[in-house]
Amino acid sequence: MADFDLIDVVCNGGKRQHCPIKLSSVYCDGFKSESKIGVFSHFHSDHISAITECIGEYDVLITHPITFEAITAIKPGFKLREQWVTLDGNKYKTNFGTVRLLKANHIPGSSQVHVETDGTSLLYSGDFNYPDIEIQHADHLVLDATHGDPSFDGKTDRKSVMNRMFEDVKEKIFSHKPVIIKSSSGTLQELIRHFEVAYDGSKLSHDVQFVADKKQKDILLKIFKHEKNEFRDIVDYDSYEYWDLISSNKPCVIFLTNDVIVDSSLANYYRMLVDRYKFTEDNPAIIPFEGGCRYNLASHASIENILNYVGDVNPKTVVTDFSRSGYAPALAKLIHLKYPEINAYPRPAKIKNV
Amino acid sequence: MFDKEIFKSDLLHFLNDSLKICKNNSDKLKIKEIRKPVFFPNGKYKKSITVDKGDFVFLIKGLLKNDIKNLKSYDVITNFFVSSKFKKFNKKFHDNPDGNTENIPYFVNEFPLNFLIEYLEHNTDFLMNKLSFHKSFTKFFKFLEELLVDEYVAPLFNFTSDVDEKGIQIGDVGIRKINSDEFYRFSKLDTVAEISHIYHDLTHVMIMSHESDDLHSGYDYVKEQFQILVDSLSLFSIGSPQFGTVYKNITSPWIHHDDKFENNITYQQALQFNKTDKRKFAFIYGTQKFADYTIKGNSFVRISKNRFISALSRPDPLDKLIDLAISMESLYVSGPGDITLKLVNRSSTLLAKNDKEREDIWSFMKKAYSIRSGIVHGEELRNTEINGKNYTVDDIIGKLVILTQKSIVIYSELINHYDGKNKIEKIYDDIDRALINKLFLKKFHSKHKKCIYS
Repeated sequence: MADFDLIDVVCNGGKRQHCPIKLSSVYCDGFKSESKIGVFSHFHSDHISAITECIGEYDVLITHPITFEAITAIKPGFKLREQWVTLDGNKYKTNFGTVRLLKANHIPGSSQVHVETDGTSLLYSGDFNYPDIEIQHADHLVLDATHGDPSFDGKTDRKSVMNRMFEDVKEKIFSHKPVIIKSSSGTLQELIRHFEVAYDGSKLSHDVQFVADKKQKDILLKIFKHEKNEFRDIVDYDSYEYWDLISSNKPCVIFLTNDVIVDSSLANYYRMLVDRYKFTEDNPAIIPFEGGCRYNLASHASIENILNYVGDVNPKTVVTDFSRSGYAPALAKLIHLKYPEINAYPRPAKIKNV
Repeated sequence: MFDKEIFKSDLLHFLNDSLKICKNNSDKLKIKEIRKPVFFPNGKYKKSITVDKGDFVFLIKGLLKNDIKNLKSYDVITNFFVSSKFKKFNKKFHDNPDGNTENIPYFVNEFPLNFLIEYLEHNTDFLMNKLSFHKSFTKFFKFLEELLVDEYVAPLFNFTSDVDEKGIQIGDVGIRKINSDEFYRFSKLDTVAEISHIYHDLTHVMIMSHESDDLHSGYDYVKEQFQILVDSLSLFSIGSPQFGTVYKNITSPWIHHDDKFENNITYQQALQFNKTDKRKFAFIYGTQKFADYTIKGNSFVRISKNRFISALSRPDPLDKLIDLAISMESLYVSGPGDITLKLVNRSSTLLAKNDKEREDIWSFMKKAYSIRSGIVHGEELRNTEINGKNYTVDDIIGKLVILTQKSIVIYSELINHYDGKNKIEKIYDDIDRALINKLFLKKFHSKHKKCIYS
């Protein structure tokens, strides 16, 4: 059985909301009253939703510099708070041990949280993708269970798929068809950067407008601030310039996060959908449908890779995070089946939806 | 459908409420300059002028959307849009195949906003005008009654006509004069410094209404229907009409417009079509509309027609003549034997109305085919003399176009009168028999007189 004084998923009354991951005295991605040190693994909304509560109470808030830039792009006032500590390869020492952030390969700045205390190592995976992830042994591991289900096993190659997405964008734009790209925050910025900077082939003329929500645009310009001169001027979603583009049906590329419900003016646009789809083992990484196409840019590890990751970390106990994924119990069973020597449990044991 | 009068009364209530919001925010209305086309009396593009236009789309959807959606009268209106018909409409615009977990919008809830925008386009002072309300309501209710019907339109290039704004209907497809909004959209008047030369002669459009449950299949069907009409025009008179990009709901205030099938248009000889031609043209259109080219035994006519259409767009007269000759061969010749003999005998037998004409066609086709053979063996195209009459190159091509047009129309009809395997051979047998049997020729022509003498 795991030592829940060392690691746990701490949900208030078993409710699935703002549940912080406990690593000794460090609480990750959620709020726990009377605590001193918080860590944010990455800037997706389900991982930073408790930030206002944390900033009002914690003494230290640790995150990766990119995540910090993204958070302060969303809430500029947070930048003025003194609690921030950014780590990029270095350690933060406390009176109980050290905290390190390890590359998680989920979105820009995403990190695993590694804590060493009294000769025991603790690790929170955060949302992660495998391989291309920094591996560090830990005695006790709290594992993100998103996509911890065999039905999320579609194979993909992110760079090739992003290249193909850009080729598709160009093809549509050249045939005067406006495009909407829907993805999660983080991936959205990676895509814009890929189209503007990383793509090796011919680029898209800056006469073609890109559109994004102001918040997402601010995140882009912060996390890729050294490359921002390469980016075209991006039109704010819902601004006057945006409506001017839409009413004249001018070719443009609109980047939206999945939570935005589109207006009927965009109903006829070519839809390019990233994430939020079960790409199974049999599925290709690119699935066209009438009026659009889905792309697998898997930013979460497949079940096979989750198990490989656990093998590499080689912990004694694994806690699977039931607060952010319903697959946690099944994943714990799969881990125990593959590694009988590892104790694996979902936490909390039961969960209530709120 | 719900009660029209109750709906009208509630919509009026909504309009009153929302106009108050608009009036209070009238200072936020942005005025933009747009270019408007001006036409010569013959309907051709003359110039563009710049006019000021209030941007009501941005005012309502960009700025006041939330205030208006908070109105109780807005909820009352959207409560009308709940039946399966409206759900089907929403599904059409946002299908959710394979369990995609995208957030699904309910587009019909934007109808009240669209109605308000449409009203304001005609009442820029934000005041209630009952007559104007009634006009907008009538259009809106018609749209709601035919919710799944889309309006398609495509510009008709290389085409001139006296058909006016009201237009004419040929089967399911209409032809009418282009309107100012359509020209503005087609030519991208606001986004280009100078419009493409092909728009300078554009005066007419093809239109069609079509109902479909999804956003895409309608385009394929409509494109096919537009193609039939354009092919029929090519078989009807001299000229090479072409249609451009197909647009959907381009001037609809209720649904956002869309387009598909960007076509490369080339400047060709314009086909002249008069309103009085409608009856004669309707017959040719009928032959193409009802000819089933998907049947294997009918494919030779489709091949011939395609080659004929290709000939019309060829800039080089040499290529044009070769294509026309191939088009005729596809219709009149198959299997081994003397190609020239079969071609000239059968074409003259089928096309001519009397002995004199038969001899003329026989001589002409023989010469034309010999010119065709000369070209493929490296000879140049030159003027010639047939039956004592001088023919320039243009005369030869012109006459060949007319004979090919007529042949395709006749064959399009003939294939419906023959069944089974080897249909083409059965048709040849009858034409060959008519060649040697005058009585049979008379009977054959009499049986198919509608297409032969049309």
